[in-house]
Amino acid sequence: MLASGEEAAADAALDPAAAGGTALGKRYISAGGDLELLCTKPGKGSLAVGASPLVLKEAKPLPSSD
Amino acid sequence: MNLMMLLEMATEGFGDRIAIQSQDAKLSYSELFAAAGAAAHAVAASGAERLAVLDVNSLAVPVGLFAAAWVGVPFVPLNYRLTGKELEALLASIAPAYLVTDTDRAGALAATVRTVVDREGFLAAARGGADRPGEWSMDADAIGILLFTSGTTGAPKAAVLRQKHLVSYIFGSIEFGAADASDAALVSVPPYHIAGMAAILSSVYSGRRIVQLSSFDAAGWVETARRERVTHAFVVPTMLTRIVDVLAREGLTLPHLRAVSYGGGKMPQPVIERAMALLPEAAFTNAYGLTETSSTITVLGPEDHRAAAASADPAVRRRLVSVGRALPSIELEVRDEEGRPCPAGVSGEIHVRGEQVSGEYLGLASRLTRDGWFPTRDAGTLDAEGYLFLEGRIDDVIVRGGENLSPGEIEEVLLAHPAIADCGVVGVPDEQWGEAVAAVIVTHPDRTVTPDEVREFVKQRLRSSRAPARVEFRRELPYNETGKLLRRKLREELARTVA
Repeated sequence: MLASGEEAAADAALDPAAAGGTALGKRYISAGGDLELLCTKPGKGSLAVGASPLVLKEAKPLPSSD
Repeated sequence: MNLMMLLEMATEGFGDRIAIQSQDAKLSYSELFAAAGAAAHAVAASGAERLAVLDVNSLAVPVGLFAAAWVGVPFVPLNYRLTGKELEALLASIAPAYLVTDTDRAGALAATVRTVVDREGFLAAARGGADRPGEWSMDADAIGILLFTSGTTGAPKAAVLRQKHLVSYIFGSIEFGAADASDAALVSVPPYHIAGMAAILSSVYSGRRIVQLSSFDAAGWVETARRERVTHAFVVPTMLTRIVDVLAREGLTLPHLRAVSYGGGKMPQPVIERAMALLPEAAFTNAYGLTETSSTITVLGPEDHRAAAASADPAVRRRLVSVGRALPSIELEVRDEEGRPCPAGVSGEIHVRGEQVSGEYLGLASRLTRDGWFPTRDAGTLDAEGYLFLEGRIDDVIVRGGENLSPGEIEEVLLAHPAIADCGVVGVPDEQWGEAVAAVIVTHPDRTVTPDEVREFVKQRLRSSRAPARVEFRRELPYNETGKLLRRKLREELARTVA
């Protein structure tokens, strides 16, 4: 666990259990639906709250209005 | 939050795609990002506290918009039709400003503002510059855009749109990168209109190429749409009327156009029906929003249009002239004068709440209620399924003998008359009733109708109190350039000519 703004160790390795990736511009929600995140910088790691992974939220496109 | 987040994401996601083009000049997302950085550096160096653009649509508008966000100063798109004292007053209210304008004006305004640059010089420096400021601020309360509202009811005021309002609007209504690489949006609304600002932000976040038209003319719009294979466009009703005329007259089609959205004023039902018939491949969306709500708050989507047009049920068919239902991120209520929610079918004032809603003007107290609702001053009615029908500004409601009459409701009926091409309904002073209904009518070139026929037509369809006491004929009605009927002007004209 790193604090915000802290540098990761150079030899840090991604846990294969959390290597699903996080994609630019996608939304991720917690199982209970009480947390929603928008990915503004993508990466190889996946998101979780404690041991509970966030899942990709299905987009419901709205008609283009402007 | 900062608008630069949107451009940074687009640059990371599809940096080589064309973001925007104006005639032959083009910028990819990466180039737009770099140009915004260089322009931000220049604005920061000038010490200006606002970045204003007084010009038609050009690449300087998106470059300026993002540069302002990067530096952390408000972006102020000004109406290029303004002159003299009006313009001086606006410039004084935003001093010290960095102003981008056309070459003719740049010299004349040099004494009025901190820094003035002409459009081409601004763009050349932005495209060639290598310096850029450090990280932009993520202060969500910083002002993103100051927009002087169109002022159909009086002196212009500057609506304050903060970074949080604008970014929330985009996150709440657009899916990142949802556009196909071949999508193109034709932007012909002026930059000083909220729809012009929203078009840039929505297109950047969805990855849709923006094709700018410096200013609107129907023939140029059709020609550009065909040449650039435009897939999406936003128009105000008066634009659509003229576009449809050109298509019909020239026998042209727009084979690539898939989505037309419209808003900014009342769309006459015959115009939308004609447009749907002439452009059968296009999906139509009606959007309702205000400057103070960072653009769209309700939409009538393509499915709603098709269902309404195909329905035999008059209540469903009438939805063609509704503005649809609230966005998922917006709460909307119609309330009576005591602030209680009106039941379906009962007219009242439209109230909205949501993260994109600002309801704030520069130098004035917030118009939001303590619990965050914005009273729009627009009158409307919701139907049983939540479709919203606009009835004009609250201030335009005609109070006749204690009864509130909606000009929009009477106009809708009048427009269904075969001889009537356009009309405006306003209240005029009346000794007996306080106010009386006056209708100003434009007939089709080859048709006529008498005042008595007009009264009878309304009486048969609405209550007799709605029948216009005064009926006048004109060759055209006064509109502002984005298609809003200038009722104040109509009232003034009627006051000058006694019936």
